[in-house]
Amino acid sequence: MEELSSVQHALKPTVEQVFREYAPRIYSLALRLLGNEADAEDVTQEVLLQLIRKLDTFRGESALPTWLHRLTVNAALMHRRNRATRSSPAIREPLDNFLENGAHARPVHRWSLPPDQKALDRETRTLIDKAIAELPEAYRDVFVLADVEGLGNAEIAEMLALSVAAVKSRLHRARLLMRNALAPHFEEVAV
Amino acid sequence: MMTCREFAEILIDFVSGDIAQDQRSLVEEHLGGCRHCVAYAETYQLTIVVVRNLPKDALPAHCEQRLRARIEKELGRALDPPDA
Repeated sequence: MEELSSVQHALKPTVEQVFREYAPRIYSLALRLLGNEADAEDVTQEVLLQLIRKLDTFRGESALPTWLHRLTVNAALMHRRNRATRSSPAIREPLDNFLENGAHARPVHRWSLPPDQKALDRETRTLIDKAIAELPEAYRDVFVLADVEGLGNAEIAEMLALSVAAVKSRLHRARLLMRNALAPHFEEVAV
Repeated sequence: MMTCREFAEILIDFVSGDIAQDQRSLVEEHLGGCRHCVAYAETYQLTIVVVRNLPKDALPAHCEQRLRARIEKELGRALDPPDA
């Protein structure tokens, strides 16, 4: 037992390790959910302090674990609730961009992307993050958790206290709004 | 006959391959005659791809410094030194 306990002690991360491992991920998630640095810092501080105070029961993991997503999402939603003065953009309906007969209101062009789509330049990353920040909050939360963080619809539904059908509907609308926002940047020039 | 709007409504199922068999033939028929919807579906999928490739661990240096200072203040001590 003594041996086991010394191994556990050796594996227990230090505060510095927790900071380096998790602060960037918590901050990125909080920034995308809240849309500004000051709020993201507040949430990151709160979540990190919760983590640090529970170091004795903490098990280091390389991926951002679901419970840490949950902790960050809860802190971000609470933070947003407490700053009621800032308003969210009005909900836009992406499926309004069609004519009465159901056809596209304007031509849809293909996109030109670098062959290695991972190599997005800084300008493009900034543009994508700006488009995310401009999504209505109800859509943004679902979109960030699903398409940026890669969580499943059922997990997101539980985190946000929504039905899976509502998650799917919001995710679809968020993707359509994102597609429309990114299209002018990526569209191929018509010949 | 499926319209472009009707196709747009079920895109999320189309790209995840989670589309009912009776709708699949309607979709195929529609895509066969509508290059706009072919481009729409392709760009919807590309949106998902580019967003998945965003960095998930960016902490600007000025934010890191502020956060370290705030946490050290809350804890009443400096953070542990980095690994030896």
